[in-house]
Amino acid sequence: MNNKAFTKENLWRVAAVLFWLLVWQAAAALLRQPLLLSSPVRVLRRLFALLGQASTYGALGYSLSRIALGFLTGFALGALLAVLAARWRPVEYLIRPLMLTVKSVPVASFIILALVFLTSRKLNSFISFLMVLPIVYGNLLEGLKSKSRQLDEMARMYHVSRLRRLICIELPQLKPALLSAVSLALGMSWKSGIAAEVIGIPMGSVGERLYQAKVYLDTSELYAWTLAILLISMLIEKGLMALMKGAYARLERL
Amino acid sequence: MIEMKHIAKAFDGKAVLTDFSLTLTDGITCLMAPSGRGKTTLLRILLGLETPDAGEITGKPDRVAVLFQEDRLMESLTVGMNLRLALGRAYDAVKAEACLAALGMPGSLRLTVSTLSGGMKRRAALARALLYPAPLLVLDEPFQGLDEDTRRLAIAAVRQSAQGRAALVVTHDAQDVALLGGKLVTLQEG
Repeated sequence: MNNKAFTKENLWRVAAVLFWLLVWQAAAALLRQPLLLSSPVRVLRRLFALLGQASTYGALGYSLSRIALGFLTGFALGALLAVLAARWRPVEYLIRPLMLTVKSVPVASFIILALVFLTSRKLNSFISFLMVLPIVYGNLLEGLKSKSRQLDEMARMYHVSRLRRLICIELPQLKPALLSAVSLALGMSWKSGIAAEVIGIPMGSVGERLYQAKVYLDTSELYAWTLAILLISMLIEKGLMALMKGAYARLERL
Repeated sequence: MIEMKHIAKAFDGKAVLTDFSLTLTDGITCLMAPSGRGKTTLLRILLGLETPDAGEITGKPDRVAVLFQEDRLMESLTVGMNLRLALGRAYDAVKAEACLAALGMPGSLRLTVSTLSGGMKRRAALARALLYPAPLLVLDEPFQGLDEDTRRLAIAAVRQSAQGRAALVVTHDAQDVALLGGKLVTLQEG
């Protein structure tokens, strides 16, 4: 794509966002019920007000750290199980019902079930772990299964060391599966983690702030927190994807 | 000296190789056969990638330089990285550049494989096999997809690389056999 076409596409994207913001603003102006529908201007003002409060960063830090813990453990276990299942077929058969159950059961059911044996402070980590696990497992297993046997044979014939095989042959082949797993799992873990907080209401979390806004019918704050959650989700996804692509570029230069 | 003795192999009850014997000594041995006569199976058995139903192989070295029917290169890596990946400590950029130049693609070490034409990929894969320090060189249709000029360059490079080691070259082109010289073995049906 050349620069001109790229700029034109970006302009269309910005124009589309502006159009829907205008629709939102017009609907709020027509309804004149900020309790039901807060205008984008009010929401933005509230968001900036939130950004000036130290407690906002405390809540974000609390939620982010716990959800990140769930994401990382889910990612690690999902990757490990995918490697085992790709190597030994019985493992795949054994794990399949478990993964299907986790994927099919509504997240709200898991949250309520988990509250029986977990404190609300541990809930968001556990739920994001649970949501990440089948995504990473499924994507990586597919990636591992579609690995080229021909390249494996080539590496065997040329006595390529295990480490070099991993870095130069296996990881590049897994790149699409890994990137897709990270992109999908990040969004799911963040959203499900916040949903768990809204139900479990742990003190000082983003979920608690959302719940409080709902209880006090503070629609502007509810929207502002939702917008903050969205923006953070986008930032984390973009940041991590850029980091992974950079890591891959470095790996390929080794 | 590498000997394949009374090799037999069948797939789903259909015999692909029956009582096949071959002795490889230093220099080039050309193996000619029409498609579907078990050339690939024979090479896979020689390389240890397939187990024969009967027969044995003696004198096979631990290391074999091989060019498969497919190029089997990492598309996302450069030609140089592909060579370094296979050759390991034996990789020498000067020798690699000289080998690629002999194959008619000088200055291509830094080119990414995915950007190369089919003929260039074939020559990059051939360079990998020619540069690999192994007592046995096995080339499965090394000149496929090459035009007349590059084919002649590749044949010259193979002849040079086969000096002092055994080389088995599979081809179905009589002209290649004539230019390569060496022994000729034909594979009959079954």
